[in-house]
Amino acid sequence: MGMAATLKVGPEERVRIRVKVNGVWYEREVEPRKLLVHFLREDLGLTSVHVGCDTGHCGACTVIMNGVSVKSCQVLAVQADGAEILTLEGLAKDGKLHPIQEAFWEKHALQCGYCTPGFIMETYWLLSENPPNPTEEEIRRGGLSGNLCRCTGYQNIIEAVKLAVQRLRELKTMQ
Amino acid sequence: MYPPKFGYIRVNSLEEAVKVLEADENAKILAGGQSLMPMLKLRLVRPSYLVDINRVPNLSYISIENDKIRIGALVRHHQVEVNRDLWKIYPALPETAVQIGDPQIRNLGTMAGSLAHADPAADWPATLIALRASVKVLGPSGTREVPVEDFITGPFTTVLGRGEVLGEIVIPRLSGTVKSSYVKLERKAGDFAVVGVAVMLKLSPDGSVEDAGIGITAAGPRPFRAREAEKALIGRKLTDDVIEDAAERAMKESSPISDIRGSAEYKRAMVKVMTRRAIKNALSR
Repeated sequence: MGMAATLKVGPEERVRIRVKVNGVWYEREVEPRKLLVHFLREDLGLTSVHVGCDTGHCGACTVIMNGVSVKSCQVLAVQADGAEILTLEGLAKDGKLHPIQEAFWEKHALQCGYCTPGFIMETYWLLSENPPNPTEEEIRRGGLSGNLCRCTGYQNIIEAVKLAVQRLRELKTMQ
Repeated sequence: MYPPKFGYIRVNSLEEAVKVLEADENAKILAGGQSLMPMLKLRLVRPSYLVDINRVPNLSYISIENDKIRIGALVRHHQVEVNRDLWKIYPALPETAVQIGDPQIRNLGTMAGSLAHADPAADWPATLIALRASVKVLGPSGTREVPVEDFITGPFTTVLGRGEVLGEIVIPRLSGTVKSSYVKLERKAGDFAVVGVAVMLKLSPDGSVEDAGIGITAAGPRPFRAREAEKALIGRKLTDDVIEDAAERAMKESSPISDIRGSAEYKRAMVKVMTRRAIKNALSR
């Protein structure tokens, strides 16, 4: 992929991209200016990826791209060509919620729910990056500082992340 | 919000990027894109083509050598944040990284991109100036090295000429006891600095300062090196009076403007406070 030939697409042209989203490869034609968030929502129908502020602040559009969390309104769809993307839709397995989703549910870490997919995806990255035991400071500053919630005041969200850490650790010891 | 229409070129080498930029002065490099995307959406920039360098191989290195550290053009802030060697050698570097934007932005945003973008409140320039770093610039007529201090010439303005791209950041390593710190005053997590001060101190065995570097951001039209403040430290032991004198001088060297992050008067006062804190924080390490 890194050695692929130079690609040049004019401003009025479209470019064919291949993206693996939640385990499935999709091929679509997009304008170079199309943002990843619009590609995921409009072309693939993955509406968990929310457009919040549209300026890179709120984190409601957070998805995992090639293993790291990104704000999908800050990335072009054409940049994701060849990439692996994970959205909230890809978390639950066999009808069972992911432990992070369960933790958000149990701790009632939401009110209106608009920011929730972004928070859950950012938590997913945080816990894949720093599995042992993030401190509350690490959860707040190093983890969730790029996600805004305008209803709950964050307390229950932090509690949910702590619970998710505990659950994931238990799952690991069981394995 | 949709960005304006632009074309897209994916290159496999920086040399290729140089050729594109030389032929088309309205083309623009896309690295991390974390400042570029909002600017595109707000139509503050209207490039003809975006030249995507993200697939260029071997640009994501942090190379720690005996006398210098070399940082490739695609090194993301997060890579600096989690680099254990850098925490030991120059803690000011990862300390700067963790205070930039938020985790998602740090996963994509690059040090080189931040320098080339030259926001007058950006964090990296302060630290890189304090550490006496320079940048390697690739252009149509070859390679040149420019100190970071001279690289940024004004708000969103650098010495990069037509067809030139930033290839690497080079940070010299000093021998002996070297301490460093970056202190940032911000209104809320993830915001740009109200004022940011980075300090590097090389101490002799008797505890006096052999060499000092002080870089300041968001307190003038461009990030600057506080030379008078550095002079106040060199050759002296760091008593409270000496530190106070240096902080006072740094304040006098600053020329902030009033904006949404504070009045010029407030920011000047904060330059003094942050300089004092940065020196003390570096010393405590």
